[in-house]
Amino acid sequence: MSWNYDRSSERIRDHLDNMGAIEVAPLSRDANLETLLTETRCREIRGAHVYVDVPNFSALVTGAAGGEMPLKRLAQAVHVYQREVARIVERVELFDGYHVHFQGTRLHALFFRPYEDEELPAKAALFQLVLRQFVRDVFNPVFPKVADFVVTGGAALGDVIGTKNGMRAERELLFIGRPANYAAKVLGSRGTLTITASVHEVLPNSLKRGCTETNRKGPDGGSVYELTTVTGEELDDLCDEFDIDWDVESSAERVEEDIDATPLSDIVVEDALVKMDLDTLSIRKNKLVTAASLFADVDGFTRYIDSAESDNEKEEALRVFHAIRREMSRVVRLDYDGLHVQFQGDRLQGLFHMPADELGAIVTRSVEAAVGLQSSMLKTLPLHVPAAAKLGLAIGIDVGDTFASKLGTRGQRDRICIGEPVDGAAAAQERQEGGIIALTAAAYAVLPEALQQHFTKDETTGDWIAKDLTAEKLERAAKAASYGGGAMGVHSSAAGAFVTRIVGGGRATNPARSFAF
Amino acid sequence: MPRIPRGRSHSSLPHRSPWFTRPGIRERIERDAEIVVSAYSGLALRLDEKAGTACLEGTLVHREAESAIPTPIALRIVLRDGYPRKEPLAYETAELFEHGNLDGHVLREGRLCLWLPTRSQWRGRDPEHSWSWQDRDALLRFVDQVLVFAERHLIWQVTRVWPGGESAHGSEGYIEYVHEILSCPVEQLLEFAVAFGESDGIDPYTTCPCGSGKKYRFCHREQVRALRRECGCIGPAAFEAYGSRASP
Repeated sequence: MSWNYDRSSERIRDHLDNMGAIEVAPLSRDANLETLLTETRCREIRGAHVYVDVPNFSALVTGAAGGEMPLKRLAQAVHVYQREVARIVERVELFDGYHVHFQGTRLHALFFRPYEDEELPAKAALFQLVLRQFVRDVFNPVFPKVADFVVTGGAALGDVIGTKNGMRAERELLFIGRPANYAAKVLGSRGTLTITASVHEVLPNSLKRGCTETNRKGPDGGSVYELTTVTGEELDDLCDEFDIDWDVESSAERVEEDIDATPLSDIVVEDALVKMDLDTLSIRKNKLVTAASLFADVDGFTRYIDSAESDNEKEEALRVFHAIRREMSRVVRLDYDGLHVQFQGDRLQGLFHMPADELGAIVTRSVEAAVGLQSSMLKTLPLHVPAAAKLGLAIGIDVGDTFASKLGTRGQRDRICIGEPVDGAAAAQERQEGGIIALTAAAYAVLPEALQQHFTKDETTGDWIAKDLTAEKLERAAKAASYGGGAMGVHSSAAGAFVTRIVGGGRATNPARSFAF
Repeated sequence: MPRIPRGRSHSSLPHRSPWFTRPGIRERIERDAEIVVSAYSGLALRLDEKAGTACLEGTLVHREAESAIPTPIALRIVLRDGYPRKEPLAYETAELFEHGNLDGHVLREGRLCLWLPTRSQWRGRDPEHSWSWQDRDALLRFVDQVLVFAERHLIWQVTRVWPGGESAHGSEGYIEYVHEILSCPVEQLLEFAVAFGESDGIDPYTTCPCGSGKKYRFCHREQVRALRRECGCIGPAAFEAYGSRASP
């Protein structure tokens, strides 16, 4: 199965025909977003978005790939980390926030209320400080055989539109708009906790005192502030001030309980000889596979959604958003038999690991999927949602050892893939603009020559890139050899005309020897 | 050309019937066009009596065999005075193709260089092909060739290598043709070069350049004359350039 114009066009049209009217309204009551939001019932939500990452998890996958125990320890650490962090975010007596999802080990959390709440920015800053303390004083000591983790964070405040898409069990909550995007973009280097000017302006003095302006600028050109280190006592005082019932001791107890509940002997990390079902994975069942990671981001979408002012414009923007995202997922899953790991806002994370351990074939599949994605974006989506013509897909691909699992217990669970190739693919995508497919050197090196010929080296980034590479270009290049001799078959009908190498059913036509005066 | 009497403009001259209204021609055009349009519904016959022009015009939708991506190609197939004996000309009119890039075999005004005139399939001159303008479905075969040409140009846009056979551009294409027909080594071909000037510059009573030992008059002269009629004059510089490229 591969990308096909008619199939793609038909499913986009069907999706839009069956979508129904989209309603965008302000969030007016405290509600469970999981049940409130649907593809068409969308809410404007004012809140503080926080991203917290532990960047050194990825390097640990590479380091642990050779041994069973290091892998088990890594799996245990990832899951235990996620469970306690999710509790810190969500427990009412703690931050009473919402854990949107884990993107690998990067958490996206949202603190919101249906009314003005002056404490939201304070929570966004304090939450980062608490996580730093948690990792330093709780997590690292209980995992002495795993390298010391450091926390990096970013937060932004403002209005976003909350929605949901996907089918049945694959439904994912999504928040689109500047704050959700900016929080991720101000994530600094290792160990820094940052906030945008939107959060800093409304921080209470007790937290503002601990901020210093950095020389970085946010995506909107505004200042970025760093949260400086606080002592344990100072953090306790801040928690008391904002009524956050968190302390090192109780956090450590919960972590110990998690470790006791899932000892290393209960944890399995194995390879995958058939296509993985990410939803069957858990703390006890994890996979380590050779895989190609693919990230596809809708370049310019945040600008587009922000430019929508009237209700009609917002509704139309959401229709475009849902159409693009559903199609992206279908290309990866249905056309190229890949895994849709998750959506990260307007970005899709995909994974390809079959045929097992055949590096060249795996990367070929992922590149073909990237070409399929570009084909949908450039050829079929604009037919049904004309605004898509103004947007572009930036795609990054990398390959290597990847740890896959599913985090969480019951309720909301997050599929995760961790590893340097995951970060490599994400970084390659982030370096490029719409219309580009970027391969890391490792991915390019194992690609067959027939595909390599479409890529040129970007000397600035070191990536191998192709602009507006769509399915017909691959097909045309592959077809060049058909013109080596003998008759071609010409087929024509009301739908169009095509030429095949085999005459059967068509009018035999010997290609003439072309000339030019 | 009739003299225009004083005080009368061209427009006041009696209307002259366009070429395609001659007996049998319009019927042939309409019949040929019907066959083409039944296969390529995006094309339509346009007969402009005032301008005296006849063409098949419209959009041919090329689809890839697997991905089915459609590429609309705007075409004009111009039927000329002398049709059907005289070959139609095919033009791409929306600049989807690279006009003026000879490596893509498209002239500046969008005309498609389907073949060397001496190898015209329309005129039945290509020994590898077995049809000509006399066939009932000649115009359809011609449009099929245009479709195949279009696909090759689209492939060339991706790979920058023309798929399948091609003749060298300009005079060199004709020399290549002469070389193939004469089927002789390059050095001997260069000796024939003087025969392709304004007049046949080879003395009929000298030994033929082919090396047979016969007099030129009784050896290659008739064949060379026929080639000269087909290809027209070719300057010695073009032969020299060809020779320097063809020699090892």
